[in-house]
Amino acid sequence: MNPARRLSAFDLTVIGVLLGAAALLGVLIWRGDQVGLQVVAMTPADGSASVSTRSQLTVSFDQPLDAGSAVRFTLDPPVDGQVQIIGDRATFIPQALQADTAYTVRLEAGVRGANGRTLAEARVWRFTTGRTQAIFTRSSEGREQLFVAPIPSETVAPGELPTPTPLMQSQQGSVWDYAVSPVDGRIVFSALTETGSSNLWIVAPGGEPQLLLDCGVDFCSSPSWSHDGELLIFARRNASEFGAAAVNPPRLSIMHVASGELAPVFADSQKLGFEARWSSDNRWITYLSPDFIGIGVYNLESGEERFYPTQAGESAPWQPGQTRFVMNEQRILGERSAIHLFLVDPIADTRVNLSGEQAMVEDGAAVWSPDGEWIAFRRNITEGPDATLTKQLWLMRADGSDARPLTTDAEIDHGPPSWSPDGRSLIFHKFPLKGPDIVISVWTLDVETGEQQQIASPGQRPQWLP
Amino acid sequence: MICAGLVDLPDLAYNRRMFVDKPQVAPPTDSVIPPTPPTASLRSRWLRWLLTVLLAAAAITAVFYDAFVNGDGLPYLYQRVQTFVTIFLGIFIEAAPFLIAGSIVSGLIAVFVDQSAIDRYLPKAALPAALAGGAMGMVFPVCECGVVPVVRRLYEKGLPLSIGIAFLLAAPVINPIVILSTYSAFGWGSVFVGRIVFSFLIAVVVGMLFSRARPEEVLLPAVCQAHHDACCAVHDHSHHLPSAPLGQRFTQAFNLAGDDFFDMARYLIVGSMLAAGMQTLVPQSALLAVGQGPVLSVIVMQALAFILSVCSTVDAFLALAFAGTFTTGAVVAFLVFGPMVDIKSSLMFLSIFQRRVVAYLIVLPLMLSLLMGVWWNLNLGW
Repeated sequence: MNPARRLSAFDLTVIGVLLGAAALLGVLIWRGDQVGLQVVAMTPADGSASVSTRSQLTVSFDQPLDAGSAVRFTLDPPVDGQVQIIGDRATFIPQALQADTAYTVRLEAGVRGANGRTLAEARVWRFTTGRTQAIFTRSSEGREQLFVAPIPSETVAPGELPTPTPLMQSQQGSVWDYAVSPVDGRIVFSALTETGSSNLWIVAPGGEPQLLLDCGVDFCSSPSWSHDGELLIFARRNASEFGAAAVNPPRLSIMHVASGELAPVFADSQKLGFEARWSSDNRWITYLSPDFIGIGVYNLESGEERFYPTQAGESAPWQPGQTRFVMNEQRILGERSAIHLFLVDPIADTRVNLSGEQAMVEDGAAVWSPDGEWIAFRRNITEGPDATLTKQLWLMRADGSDARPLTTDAEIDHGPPSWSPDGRSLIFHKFPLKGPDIVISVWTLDVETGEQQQIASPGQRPQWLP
Repeated sequence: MICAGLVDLPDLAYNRRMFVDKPQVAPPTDSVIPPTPPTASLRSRWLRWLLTVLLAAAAITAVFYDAFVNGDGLPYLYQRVQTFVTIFLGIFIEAAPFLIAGSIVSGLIAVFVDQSAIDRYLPKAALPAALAGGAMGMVFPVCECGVVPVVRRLYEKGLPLSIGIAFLLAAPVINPIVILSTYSAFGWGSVFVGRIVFSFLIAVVVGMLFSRARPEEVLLPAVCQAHHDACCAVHDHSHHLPSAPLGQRFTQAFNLAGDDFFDMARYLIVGSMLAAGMQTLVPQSALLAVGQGPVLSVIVMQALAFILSVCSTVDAFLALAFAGTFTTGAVVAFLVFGPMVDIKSSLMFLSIFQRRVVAYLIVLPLMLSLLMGVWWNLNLGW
């Protein structure tokens, strides 16, 4: 008997349905992916204005990316930079965005997800950077206030400087410290209240300050933005029966700025820390550890920890694009002490003395240039004919070579420097030790030519904005 | 009485000869069915034994090879046996309460449900029947273990084939308990909606297909006999005792429930052992390692669903653990296919359906849920 004839109508129907389903499956597979890799968000957003020239361009996808995928960003006007793929995000880290410029960004098609799905069409969006300004603090109405001043494009005599604009009102308190978002120039500042506590405030360029976190009787300070501008780590000191909040030990908290959601950084509530600094990939932080007396290094994803003892008490900034940071540490050389800068790689567990093993110097306030190739820092030479009581600004390469002074005025103490987003200039304050009228003033310095320009007087603790 | 002769038929080929080749010639009611040719029966039996021995030998070889070549000998073997026992007990203990519940429902149906009511109220046309079957889970909230005795009892009460099949496939998902557990695992979203909608659709489609079948080519002879008698009111197999005292009726119902439980438990034990054996021999990590891509991920999750044999009331929480690793289509396929068919339920289907039909009941949901999962991945997102 023919086997086909032994099948009933029902059997044939079932076989027909199965064959039809198999054929449909074939057609589906042949047509392939109809959705592609989906873009969930872009930072800066399309059409955004006054974008920080320090911004990184981030595209978030609906699934993790293949780490080996070709991701190509092109900017108009052209800007060089590096591409970083972490999880479901591709980030373009530009070398230098120009101030007050309209940019068109194009992310080319073909970005591949970890499971093979690709971006079907190129994505194009636009944003405009803001004007370069300086933000600094100045005493006004008996309180330390935040002010903003434009950076002149040409040399301006001190008497012709434009009047700085206040960024806050005195009722918001007296500024303790502040941090500028690397993405959009928003500023978070801690402000002291009459009772000795301090709250966190946030202000967008051109906007009014908003209370970000009411810390109650606690003392919140040392805010530090993540490089994507989404998270903020700050130190919180609780008031106790034994003393006011400001003198109690600090603990690190992390906040999602958009939602206000808060969490302690460490699972162990007894662990202390302040002055946190984020690594470029936002995975690691350094912080000052009062209980260990040194720099703590902590991986926010894995919980991995390292400690590097130091009594210098300065924060440790990360090298852009690398998982290395610079810190300073006291050294005993003979009968004298010195403070040297060290480049530390917590993964390889290496430390390199950048100041020179026998250098009789006190180095500190190191800051990385945006491209991560140079370090600007404060130094005073403590021995020899060049010894000074004041701090001068110095520059050296990331490996400690080519160290050279940028300022040589022994009568002026130079404050901590801050790099301009294009990596050409530094901004800092000057504190003259002599003179009939001692006023702290804000200055910029062209790293290439050494030319200096006063921005505001009085003023101190300046940063670039945006 | 068309099913009468099937009771003693050991061979499927004979069934086909009887109903397909010569359907118009029904044997006389009291006729003696000619016995199966001994040579064919012997060959078939030998083949079956040979296949069983070969499979067992392959499994034992795999275990010993694993133990003495890849592992460290007897301790490794002991560990594997322990793993097998743990998994077996896990599956059996998880399923047994639901089987008891299903058996009790089955006993209650046998005694309290009037078969004429089934005939009167349930639709006969293919689509309405399949739709009704798909929705019946909301009335009989049972998982894939409990639904089998209920369906068998309903078939004995004369339930149309398509309703029973749709109910069998849909009830493990389309019931309040599983809907709630899926909601608590995944919340209101695409996975939750996808599971319910596609489970219902596939159950209805397969149910409609079975409307083209005759009971005698689908059901086991004993079930078919009762089904036919119920349909034609030839003989009362229903145990329906409307005039008996309530206590007596409950006693009868629980007696029948006990019979059903022990009858089904055989299949459940063998099915659980098979599932435990598969999980011992095929580690999940081996499947997970290859489970990427829009097609392969769905196939792997279907294989996992079949092998793991997790009860549909809790499988959403297991699927949640896979949500980050696998594509969404694959997770939905796991949630749709697993409750319909797995190793233990496939074995239990053998207590109702002929083997060929059990194969259909595995392959049809497999293919349709694969189609659904791949479509989902390629058109809605992974």
